[in-house]
Amino acid sequence: MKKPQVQALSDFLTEYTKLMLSSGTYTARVSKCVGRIAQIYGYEVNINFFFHHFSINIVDKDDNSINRTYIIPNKHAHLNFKLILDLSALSWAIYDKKYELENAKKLFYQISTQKKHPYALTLLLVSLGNAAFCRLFGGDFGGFCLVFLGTLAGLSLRYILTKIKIDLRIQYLICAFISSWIVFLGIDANLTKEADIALGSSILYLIPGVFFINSIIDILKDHILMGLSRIISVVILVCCIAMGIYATLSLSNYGILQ
Amino acid sequence: MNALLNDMLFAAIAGFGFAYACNPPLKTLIFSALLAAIAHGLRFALLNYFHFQTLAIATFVASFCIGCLGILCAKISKTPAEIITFPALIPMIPGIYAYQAILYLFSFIRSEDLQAKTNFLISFFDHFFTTLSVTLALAVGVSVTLLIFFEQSFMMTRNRQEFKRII
Repeated sequence: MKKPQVQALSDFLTEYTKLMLSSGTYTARVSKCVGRIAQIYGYEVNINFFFHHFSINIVDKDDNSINRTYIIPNKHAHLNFKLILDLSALSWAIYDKKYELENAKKLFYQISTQKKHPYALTLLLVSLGNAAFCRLFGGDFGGFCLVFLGTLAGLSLRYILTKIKIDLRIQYLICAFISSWIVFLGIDANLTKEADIALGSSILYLIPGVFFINSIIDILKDHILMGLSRIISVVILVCCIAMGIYATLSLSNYGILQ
Repeated sequence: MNALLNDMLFAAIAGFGFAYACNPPLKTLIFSALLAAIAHGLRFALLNYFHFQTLAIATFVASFCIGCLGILCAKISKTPAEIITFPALIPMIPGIYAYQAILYLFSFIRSEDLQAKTNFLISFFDHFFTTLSVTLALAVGVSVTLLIFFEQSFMMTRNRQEFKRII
């Protein structure tokens, strides 16, 4: 295996780190995978992770004067488990099979351009999942249908808001409002007897559970700054959800707030 | 028994739906749905048949068990364990408690009667601490297993066959 130039390897590793961080895994995994790739090419890598950006330093083990340091802004994309799987597997494949950097880049390109599941099916399954939540908490069939409709509308709206690049926090606020409002209309029309459960379940599809668990792992694995940043961002999103549902309850003069 | 099966069925549907949104490989979706059913069913059984008084402790036990099972499933399917276990835990997130805590907080702010205010405040703290403890139990329970099997959790994706066809 030919030792790659520091610049070529740096370009590859920064892209790899950026994509892996955006796919929603915990920080220790990113650090391990990037370190593994650098090690097999004869380089050492050190990364500082922050919520808004990360700084990466790549040093030639044989000659420390050959090095590169970059500060790269993070991309905040939707969760993508297939990417986590493929990028982790790629780091092992490079390590075990000793692929040339050119081949590794080809594989990376293929992984990064693969298609996601169709959004229409995601929409249906998440709505069904959220409606199942309602039944799980003791809701009735009417509540199940209302939560399904509310989630469907909220998620469709979120898709549009993402396309027109509206800030994530505003998206959460608007979607929580719309979903809970649709469920409220059903409650107003006496379609469910478990009003509280239906309203409470209507916004649960927005709760960023995976980010929260990732942040706890980050803290326990000593990436405390990153973990705390993630928790704070989760708390902000939960506050936005609360504001969205509060807007529904205030406008509708629903009994519990009286 | 019917209640338990009902609980497991809806937990599996919720686990499947939320896992699908994270774009996982199709084979891990089945594991996620199965683990979601086991996790919620186990918590249901601990609370109703084994008379666990605290929701957080039951959640911790369930999430720890799912973490261990997740490592096993990850080994079988050669995928990172978090891809399987995280969506499986989502049905246990105490969303309703959080929602009710918020309602009681707003009711407390809007109320003018001192007795009613006190009752709302107590209810708020009750629901808020339940939410907090259950969420932390959930996250710590699964994280502990990932930390126990820390090195192994990175080895799961080794020797996957897909890349051989390309190079």
